[in-house]
Amino acid sequence: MGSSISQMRSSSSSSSRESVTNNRQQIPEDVILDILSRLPAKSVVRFRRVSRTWCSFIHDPFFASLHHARSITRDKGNALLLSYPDPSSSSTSFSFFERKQGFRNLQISHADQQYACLSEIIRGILCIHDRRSHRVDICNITTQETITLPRSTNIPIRPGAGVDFDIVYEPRYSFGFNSSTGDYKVLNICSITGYKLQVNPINGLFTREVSRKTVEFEIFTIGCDRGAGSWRKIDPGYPYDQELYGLTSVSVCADGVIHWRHRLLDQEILLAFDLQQEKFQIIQVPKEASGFQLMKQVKGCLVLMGHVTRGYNRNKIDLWILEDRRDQVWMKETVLFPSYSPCLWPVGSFKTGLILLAQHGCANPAAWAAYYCDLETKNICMIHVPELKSVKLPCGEVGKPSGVVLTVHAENLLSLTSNAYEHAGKKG
Amino acid sequence: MSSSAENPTLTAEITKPSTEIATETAQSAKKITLKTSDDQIFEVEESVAMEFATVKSFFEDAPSSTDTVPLPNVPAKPFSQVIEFCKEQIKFKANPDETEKKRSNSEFVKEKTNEDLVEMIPVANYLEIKDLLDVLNQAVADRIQNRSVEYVRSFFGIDNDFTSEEEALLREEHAWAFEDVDED
Repeated sequence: MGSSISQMRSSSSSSSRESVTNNRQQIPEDVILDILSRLPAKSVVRFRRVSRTWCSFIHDPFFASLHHARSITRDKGNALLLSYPDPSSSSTSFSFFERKQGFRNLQISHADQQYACLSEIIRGILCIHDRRSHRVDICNITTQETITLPRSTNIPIRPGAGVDFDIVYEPRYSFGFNSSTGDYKVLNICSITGYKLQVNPINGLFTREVSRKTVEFEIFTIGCDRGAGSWRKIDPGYPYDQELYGLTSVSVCADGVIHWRHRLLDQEILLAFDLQQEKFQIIQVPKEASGFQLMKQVKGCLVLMGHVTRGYNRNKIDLWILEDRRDQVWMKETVLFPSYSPCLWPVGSFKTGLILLAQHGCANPAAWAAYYCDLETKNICMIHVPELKSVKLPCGEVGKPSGVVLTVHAENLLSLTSNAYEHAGKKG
Repeated sequence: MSSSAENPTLTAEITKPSTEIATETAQSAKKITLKTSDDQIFEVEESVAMEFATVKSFFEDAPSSTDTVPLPNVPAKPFSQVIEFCKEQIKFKANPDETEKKRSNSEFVKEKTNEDLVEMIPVANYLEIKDLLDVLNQAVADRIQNRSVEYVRSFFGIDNDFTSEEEALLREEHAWAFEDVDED
């Protein structure tokens, strides 16, 4: 009888199979991971240096997701991330500000503002595509780690151009997170147009004629074969006949599905790509929602937001929430905000169910005010972000912010490269 | 602190006269006898022992057992502190007050040395006392958060197995993580 308790313990608990060796006591591995997951990213990154064992713990993708989940509950929307193309710097750099860390400014090098396309920031990670060089980077905002993906197999290093022909490549890189497997994926929808050059016999000028038009699809998975991965061609059942016209380059990932807005001649629809199935689907937009201003992910659901512009009451924002993707069930919600807020636009959303609204004017884009709107209580409250005042935001047409993203931030320690433990010197 | 405060539970439990045990039994306060790895005998009220999930499932398998339960991975010193915590927890079970519970928990860890915490963690983990493990892990996290790598090594008694080149490389890779660290 006496020995049965230890037997029972050893059979019931497989999690503490391995222990950290130290002089005093045995603290099991899962307990160490739990303690580390309670620390801010800065401390965790510093403690990689404690020992080889700790370094490999911290590098584990499982730990990164544990730590990320804890960061979300711990910070409760206190960490904001503001990203905008900095107008004071001429060539490169986007600046990120983290409210929690006193607005640490993060410059992303190699990103030429004029040509860089930033993806949606998903769990603190984003994809940057340089349209000129076709370079694609993945950047982890928390660790400031950046990797460059291998070149798309669809785009040759030397573009196919000859005496009598011309090929134009238009890749669109969309970034998404497959919540069921924990993989980050980049989808490249690449439109390839071949032109034939002909000399007009009458005036001797060149004319271009489309001789070939195809759309190719390939995917890159960051979660599983990190760093060492490659592009994989897929046949996702694209619902259109070799046509990308009208598809926005901005995508929003919600519940493991990437969504694009697609404006057709007479209607507006959403194109959806399931990251698990790797298949496309078309989602109908409710008629009254067409012309919506913003598409965001809130609490794992896709939400369309529109500023009510008709009628007397302009202090309303309509929300359409995609409750069921398969059956295409939308639920409409309306949020009223104080009448003294003359010009509010939805600019972002929080995973915790909060929507971020910004007040801004054409004359002074720096005079921003950010509002939280709780979806459940419909309460609106202003967030004080004093740093916003000192930031010179770029001003787009009609005072609408261009390229400005304000979002909630939770730290993510996911390492994008292959084994950092080896990287840290085991080889050299 | 007086010298008796160092190990109050231990002495109190062991030296209890048998008559007192008998009267408490009459009031339906059943006692459970536990033996630590360093052969100390603890007599603990059943309600307290049932806070230890490991012990609880032992009695679920053998409900009528009156044997001494051996705890081969549990030394007496941290175990007496664990009992101290569980006794407090039981009060809140009968009378839930989250604010008071939080205050009591933070008071409990505040008095403990780093060594106490590090010794109690494996015990709380082995006995599967979720609330205590949560309190201890958070306390350790709070204590090491702004500290240096060297502090953390001595906190857990971990030997540095990196070469100085490797250490320099790790530091260089994320220099921002080594700024504004509290002095040891």
